[in-house]
Amino acid sequence: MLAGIWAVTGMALRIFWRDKHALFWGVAFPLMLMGLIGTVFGNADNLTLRTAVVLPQPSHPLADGILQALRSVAALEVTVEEEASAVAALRRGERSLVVVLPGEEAVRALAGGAAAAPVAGPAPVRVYYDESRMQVAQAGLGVIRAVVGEMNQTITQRRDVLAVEAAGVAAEPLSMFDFLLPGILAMALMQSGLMGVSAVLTGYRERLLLKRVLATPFPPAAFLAGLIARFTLTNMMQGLIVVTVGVLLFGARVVGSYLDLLALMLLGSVAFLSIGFAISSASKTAEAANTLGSAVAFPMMFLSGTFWPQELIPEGLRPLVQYLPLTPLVEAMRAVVLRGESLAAHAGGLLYLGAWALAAAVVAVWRFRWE
Amino acid sequence: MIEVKGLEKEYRGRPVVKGISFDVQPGEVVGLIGPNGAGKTTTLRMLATTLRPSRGTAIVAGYDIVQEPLQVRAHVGVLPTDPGLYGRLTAAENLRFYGQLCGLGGAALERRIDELLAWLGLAGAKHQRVDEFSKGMRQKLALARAVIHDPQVLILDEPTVGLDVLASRAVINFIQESRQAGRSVLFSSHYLLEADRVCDRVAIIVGGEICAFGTPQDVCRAVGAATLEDAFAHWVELRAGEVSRRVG
Repeated sequence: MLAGIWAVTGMALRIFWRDKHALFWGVAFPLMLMGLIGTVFGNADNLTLRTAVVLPQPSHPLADGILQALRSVAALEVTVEEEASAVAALRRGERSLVVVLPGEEAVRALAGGAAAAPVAGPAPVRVYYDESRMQVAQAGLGVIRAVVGEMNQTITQRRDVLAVEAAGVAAEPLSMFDFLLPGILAMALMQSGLMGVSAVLTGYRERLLLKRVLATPFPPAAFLAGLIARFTLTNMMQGLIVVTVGVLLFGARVVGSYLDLLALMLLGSVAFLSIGFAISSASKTAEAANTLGSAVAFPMMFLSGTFWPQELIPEGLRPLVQYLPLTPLVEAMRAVVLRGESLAAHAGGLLYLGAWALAAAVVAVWRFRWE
Repeated sequence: MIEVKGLEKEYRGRPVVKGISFDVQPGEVVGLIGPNGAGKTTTLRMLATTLRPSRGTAIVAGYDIVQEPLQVRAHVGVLPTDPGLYGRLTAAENLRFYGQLCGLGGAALERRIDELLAWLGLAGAKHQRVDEFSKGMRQKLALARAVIHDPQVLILDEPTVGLDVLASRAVINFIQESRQAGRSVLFSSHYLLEADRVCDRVAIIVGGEICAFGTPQDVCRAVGAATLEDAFAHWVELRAGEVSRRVG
């Protein structure tokens, strides 16, 4: 049985290797995209973000802590300013970001003080940016989110919010490629699942290759297992190529653990393979599968924060974005790559992605047709 | 051998095969001949276990097609109307893959691949991709695939359709040599001259029913026809007349 499964995997790998289109879309395209976007929008090798911080009046220890944390980030050149003049300077292009820190009352609630009034949500750290300067906005928001995320984590663990330090946050200037690498990686996994799997399976079905398997003594489920192994292997290979080229050629950095990144690649691969199987099961022809796959993949590619931060996505669409299966994968990969966060910090999103994988697998098994 | 017992198939309540029975002995070639839509492919697919019968059953190579489909598949070679080969794989890779699915491997499989390719005149194309093959070459390769595991029974669905004279000749030779090797061969065809030439017995199937079954001579004699084509036309017209009388 295992020899048979490996025979199926070997056959499918050989076909993939000889399929120039599959190789282009699977390996070359993500790299080209990363190179193109990184070069066009991130033409400065390193970004220095001139960041105006607006302190609340009166200021409070947490605001001072955040200011100190922001100052410790080498990518930021921080000045303390008034809100109106800072925003005006941002509009003139003299500032990269304006960060407005929350007032004392909101912060007391955030810190969980006994006297704090209950609040509806976390205290807002408002960040102004210039939409016309994409590279600055992307990199800047990433850094600010990292700092604030770090603060939040610390606050939930300790009452003493004054002691917060921006440890673990990217301490060197960010390049556009640092930001793009996890997004492109997640996108490549999604593409392979949604477009690759459905194209291969419906193609096999249309050319009656699946039906042929039924005429052999080989168990049909084992044939599918062989195909799943093939896609998992090629996804891992594609991912490793993207990371290797991203790091060695484009100078992207992975702050966190490579093992965590590998685990995320594996989870993303399984989830999108499962969705790809569901799509191919629901589609009668390769064209229908391609259309359905594109209809699902393209909105996710642009809305899930692959190329730019979710903050740039129109307000009205943001609730939808949170439900897309690519979103938690991009968020977790970016957190590992940019900020070195652990997977446990993203357990909720990853469980949500796992639920998608399970639901899609149920649909795939229920609707699968051999001919 | 094949022993078909009251095999029936319905699609959404519409009967397509209506309780047919016949047999194919070892070393015998039986032709299933009938017009389009007569139920030939459906019958062959049920015998190859890729389609479950609505009622009835058959014993193929000693195994029940309903109860023991995996064992049936292990002892049957099937050639569908579409060869279903992997275009990006070479001839040898296609055969190796299907051989592995049948549980073969190692040097024995490699010897078998060489033997089959030489037998069908494809030795020179062993490492050529199937994408580059002519229709005739593909059909020969599909035949090689059907017998990669040396099955006792062969089920061939219109094996010569769309082939040129030389390719058809190669397929007919293949069928005759399979008979000499002691295999039971069941094949469907539109070509009555071919059936007359190759088959030990023929079954004329019209509207999902077998109208006549026997040697080509017996089938002709039964209806006073001079040729198998005349006998075939007799049964098709008779059934068409019955249908129009029923409708009328």
